[in-house]
Amino acid sequence: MLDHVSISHQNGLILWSRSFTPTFASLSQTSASPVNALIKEAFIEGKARNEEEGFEKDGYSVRWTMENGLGLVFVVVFPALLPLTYIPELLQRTKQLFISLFQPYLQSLIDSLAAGTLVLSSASTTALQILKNQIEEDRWEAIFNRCLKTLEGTRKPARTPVNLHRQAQLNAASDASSPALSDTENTPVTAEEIAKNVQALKTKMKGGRGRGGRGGRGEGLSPSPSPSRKTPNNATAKLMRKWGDSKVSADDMAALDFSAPADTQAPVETEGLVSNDALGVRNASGAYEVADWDYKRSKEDDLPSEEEILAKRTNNLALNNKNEEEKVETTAWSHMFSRLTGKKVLTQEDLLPVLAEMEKHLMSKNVAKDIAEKMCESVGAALVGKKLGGLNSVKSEVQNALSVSLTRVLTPKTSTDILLEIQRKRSQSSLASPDAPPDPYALTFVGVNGVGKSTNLSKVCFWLLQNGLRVLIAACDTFRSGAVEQLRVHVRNLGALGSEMGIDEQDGSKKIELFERGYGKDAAGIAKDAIAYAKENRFDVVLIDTAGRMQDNEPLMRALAKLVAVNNPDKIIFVGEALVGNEAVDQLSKFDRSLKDFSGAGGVQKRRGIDGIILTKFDTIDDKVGAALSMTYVTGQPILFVGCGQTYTDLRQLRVNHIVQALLS
Amino acid sequence: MSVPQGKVISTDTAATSEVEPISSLLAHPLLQDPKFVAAAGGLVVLLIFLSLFRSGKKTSRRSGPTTVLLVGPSDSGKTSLFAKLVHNSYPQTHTSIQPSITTFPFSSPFSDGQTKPVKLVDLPGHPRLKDELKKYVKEASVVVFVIDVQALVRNSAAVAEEIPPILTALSNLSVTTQTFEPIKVLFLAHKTDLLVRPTPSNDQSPPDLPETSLATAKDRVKSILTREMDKLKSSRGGSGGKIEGMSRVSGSSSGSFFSRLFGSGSANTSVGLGEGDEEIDENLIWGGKGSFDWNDVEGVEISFGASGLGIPSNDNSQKEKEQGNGLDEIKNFIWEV
Repeated sequence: MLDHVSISHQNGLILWSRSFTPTFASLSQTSASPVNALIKEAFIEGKARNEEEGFEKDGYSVRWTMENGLGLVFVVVFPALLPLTYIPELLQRTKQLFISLFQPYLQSLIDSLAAGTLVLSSASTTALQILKNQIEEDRWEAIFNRCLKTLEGTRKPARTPVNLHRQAQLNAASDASSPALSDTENTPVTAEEIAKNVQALKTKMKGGRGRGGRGGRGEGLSPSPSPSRKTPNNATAKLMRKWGDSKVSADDMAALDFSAPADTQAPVETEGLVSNDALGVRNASGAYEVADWDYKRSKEDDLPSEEEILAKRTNNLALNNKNEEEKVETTAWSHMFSRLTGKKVLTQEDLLPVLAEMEKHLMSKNVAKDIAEKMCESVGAALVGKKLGGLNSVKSEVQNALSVSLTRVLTPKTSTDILLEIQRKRSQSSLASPDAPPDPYALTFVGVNGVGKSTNLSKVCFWLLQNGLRVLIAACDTFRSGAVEQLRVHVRNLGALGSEMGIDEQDGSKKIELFERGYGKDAAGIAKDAIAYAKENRFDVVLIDTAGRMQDNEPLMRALAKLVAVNNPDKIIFVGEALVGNEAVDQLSKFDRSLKDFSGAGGVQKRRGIDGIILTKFDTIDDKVGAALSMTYVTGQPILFVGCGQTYTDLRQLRVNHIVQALLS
Repeated sequence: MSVPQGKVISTDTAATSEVEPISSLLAHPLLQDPKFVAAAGGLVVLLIFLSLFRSGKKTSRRSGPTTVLLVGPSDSGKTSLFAKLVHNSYPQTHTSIQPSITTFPFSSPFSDGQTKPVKLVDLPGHPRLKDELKKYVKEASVVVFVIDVQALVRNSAAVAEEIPPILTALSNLSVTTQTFEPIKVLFLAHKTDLLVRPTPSNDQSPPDLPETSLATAKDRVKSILTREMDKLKSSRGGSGGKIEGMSRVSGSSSGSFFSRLFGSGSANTSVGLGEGDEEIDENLIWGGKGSFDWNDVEGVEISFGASGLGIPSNDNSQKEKEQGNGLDEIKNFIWEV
């Protein structure tokens, strides 16, 4: 039922893994494996750090649990359609077992992986080998299989009693409809009797099976069903009453002993046994259990039971606890000392107040509430179980971790080099069709009203002009009065600036032009015409200015999506103001969502979302730079530029560490 | 001892140990002045303290073992290479989240029993974790840029874009530290075994690769990367207008006097690179006019190599596998530094 299980270290080494299906075995070798997707999307991007929610990818469900002290990740992959309820328990138990079995070997391996300047001895270079040997030696695979089977077993009885119960009810109903058989007083006696008979029958059945299958080992092993299982027995007893005999003869038993119905009954029983009898009795009852599964059954007899394994660990823990208790009794100095020696392990209780404080701090920097919560949650999840080293306080540890994860979120994962992309696209299209003029690179600016789309469009335009590109501005804001005129002023200014700075037209063709069709027209049509015009006149870049719209206005969002679907611009840039707080999430996610929903209706085209962000009015916010974090967190797209003033040169590139510093100061 | 005891006792012990032996100088009237002695002693202590502090902060890349960085895009085989070099085993890997750093005795590729300590750092390749590079680049004496030679055909543009930041950092480092030997960079065409037809048998790890396919892999990587770097140069190396980085966010001056004195403190260790590093000059790597040339990169010596690890062995069989020549080039490269 599972597809894949893996135990790996955070630095990428897989310590142990198993694929249960051949398709997944080949998939897990590639970089497209769901586990990699989990690591990339959930761990690195800081999303979905919630272990209960899990993660879904390509029809696979992925659940995981982390061990932060050692930096281990335990992952289980199973088909998304299967609601496997025992997965969390399986993960927990696997984690406990694995760590308690291999703790010393793991520690030496992990020390060797994080050894900075300390030269390793040749012994620790083989730590990985030793661990592998040890995994082999302790037959971890068998232990894991047993753990899995037990859990799969415990899940089934939860369902079977219901079935039996229903069956019993049905029988009761049929009894009621045919009152001929017996009266109520008679029932308890017969039930008891029959139960006894059934048991005798079963022993015989099992004995027979044992003789048939495995050379008479079954005789000594006849199990006595535990009292908790009397209820299903009673139900079957009632089933027996249908034949209405007070006494069961050997012939009857022989008649009843047809194998097919017995087989349908038997697996349920045996699986019940495994779960009910705990593992101590396992060896006795396990003999015919194992016969059905062919996983190394000969070896399984001398496997240490889970309790033994865990006992080893709890012994260690008990020792530790004793030590710790002693320490608590002594002064606070020893507490300090334990910190210095790096023995303090961070717990949820240690972290909670600090995390709450950090969350408040982030919110005071104008980070949206949900985002601040999620960031702190993920930082907390990554810190629980870590050892506090040196003189670091919990707070500084949290701050460090937060700064790392802030940097991760803000660092772009795609290229932000627009000039390069422009060049690439033009050289590609000229390679494809050398005679026709190359396709222009189209940038669409979208956003809510009054965030500075046109202003920042003109700044970007100035930058492109300086880099020797020819730019066409398409005035697709056909709604707000004065929008076209505003752009015309910009074009005139930039043209004048261009001739002043020497980047003038060489062959009579203008470096910058405005493409407009007045007001009230369909924006998508204008943009299409503009791109065609640009191609004809060999412009390098088309900047499409759209009308501002609120994210909740569905007709307008549909119109925008149409513009995107019709023209398929190379980049869709969301312009957002840095002043915005909680609204940032709503704006950006709704723009992204509706662009994806409405523009992908054709199905053929790839769905388009926001490709990049321009953060405007950055000069007005002092150090409350939270919007930068909120916006990059929501879409995962990079902030391409930061607008910070009224002149054409007031466009900057984002410096991630400045933002991180400002957020944490 | 002509020094009046009472006066010396009032000063710092550090001062006394320096003052005591030279008895003739002690006659100087200034030294008889307890205030002066106290001030001098204080100064000495302060200087010692500061020098200790400074030396703790700046670690020279020339001290200690040779530091080798494994960089490159995700899924190119850095962690496998790391495991093979350090642990001599070849497990399967996931995408890395953390860098792994280790110092280990690197045995000579000529199997003459010699070893030398090498610090090997495997950096995660995911673009969001690019920041990790900054922490280690200062100590690097060798950088191995690992490239998946088979995937390069598809993602050449993305791979090439990762190169300039690394080269810029190294080149700046080597220019500013005024070291005479350049930092060596090896562009390693990894997974070369995938180019070999028929697929080499799995009983060797690393597999024995024919010279021709190693050469093909090297050529392929070199030509593709040169082409892409050429494009990058023409779009970036030009004199066109550049967008500056934003200035420091106002109001976020870093804390009190003490936190500035003692480094950037606890809050921002990952940020504590100083502002000088912000605007590093990319021009150092682009060279003069014309097309891009690997030799133009200042302070960095670039070479190309090829390697292959074969198919990861899933069986945990412990038999020593025969060593092919798959890793010879990178081993030689590291050894020769």
